Amino acid sequence: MPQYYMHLFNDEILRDQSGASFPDEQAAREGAIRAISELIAEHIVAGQPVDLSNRIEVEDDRGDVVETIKFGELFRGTASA
Amino acid sequence: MTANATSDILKRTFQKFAMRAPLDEEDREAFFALPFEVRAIDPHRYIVREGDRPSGATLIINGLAFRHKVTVEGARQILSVHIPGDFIDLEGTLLEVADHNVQALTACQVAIVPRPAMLKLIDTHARLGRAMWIDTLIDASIYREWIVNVGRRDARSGTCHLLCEFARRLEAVGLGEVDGYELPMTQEQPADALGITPVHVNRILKDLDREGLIVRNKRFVRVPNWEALRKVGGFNEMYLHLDKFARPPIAAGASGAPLSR
Repeated sequence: MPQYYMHLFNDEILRDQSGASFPDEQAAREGAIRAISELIAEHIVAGQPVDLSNRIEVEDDRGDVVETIKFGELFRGTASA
Repeated sequence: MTANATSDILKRTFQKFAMRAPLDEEDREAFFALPFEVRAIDPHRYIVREGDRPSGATLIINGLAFRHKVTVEGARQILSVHIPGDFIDLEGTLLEVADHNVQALTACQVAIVPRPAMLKLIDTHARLGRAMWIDTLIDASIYREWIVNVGRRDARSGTCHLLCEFARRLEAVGLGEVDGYELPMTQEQPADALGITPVHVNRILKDLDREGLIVRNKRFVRVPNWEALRKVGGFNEMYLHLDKFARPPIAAGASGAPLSR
């Protein structure tokens, strides 16, 4: 399975040195979304603000950035009445 | 080299069993008379696959291996990590069909004892059987603690707990010390052990590093303040039952030395 590297850009840049294997790009994207949701959840539970401009860049094993996902992209909500 | 390492691990394993049950000379002779085949296993290779009928019980001579299951979505849950001196297939000996996978984490050398020989030993030497029973009970105790890791400890505590566990287990077999040991894992394996993402593990390790709870140097983890790490992880080593675990003398050539405490 191909390796994808997920670099986290939040209060500091955390580069992924070893990567993780995913069957394809779509699965890697889903992995990145799960990672972001864990980080957001942790902030919410700790009562810390979430910086919606933080992002994860997914890099493939050729060094190309194939996905950029901003934390704010994942928020979709409704509020009735 | 291999022969030495094998006989060293067999001796350690016997000593470990002797801590767990009152074994006599006949038990010793029967144990060392067990036939076995030494096999080298490449990193990431499967040792047992779910559904296999293992032909023997596998003792790790060197290297690390882990048990895991994979969900229908393809997500992997690591169930346990095994170190030299661990018998990883005592279950397989009696249950016949493997209900999970066992995979080499690093290059491993294993000794495989054929199933009939293992069964005969258990049937004819009750005290050795008891020692092996205790071995699987301690495995189960570790699984219980891992359920707490996955279900109730937050990601940070779970990570610290895991680091404490590896430190104490490796120390107990003379392969590390609580203040520093080699952990040949990327963030992917702790993530799959804790049920969180590798990015999250990476983030937590960075935080622990920054706070001075651990110091990482490639695959070596140094623990400058064991008490602090233990506290964050809520680690109480009682579940490892190390008082039922031999701490044999270190053979020449083995790395590390047990920490006197």
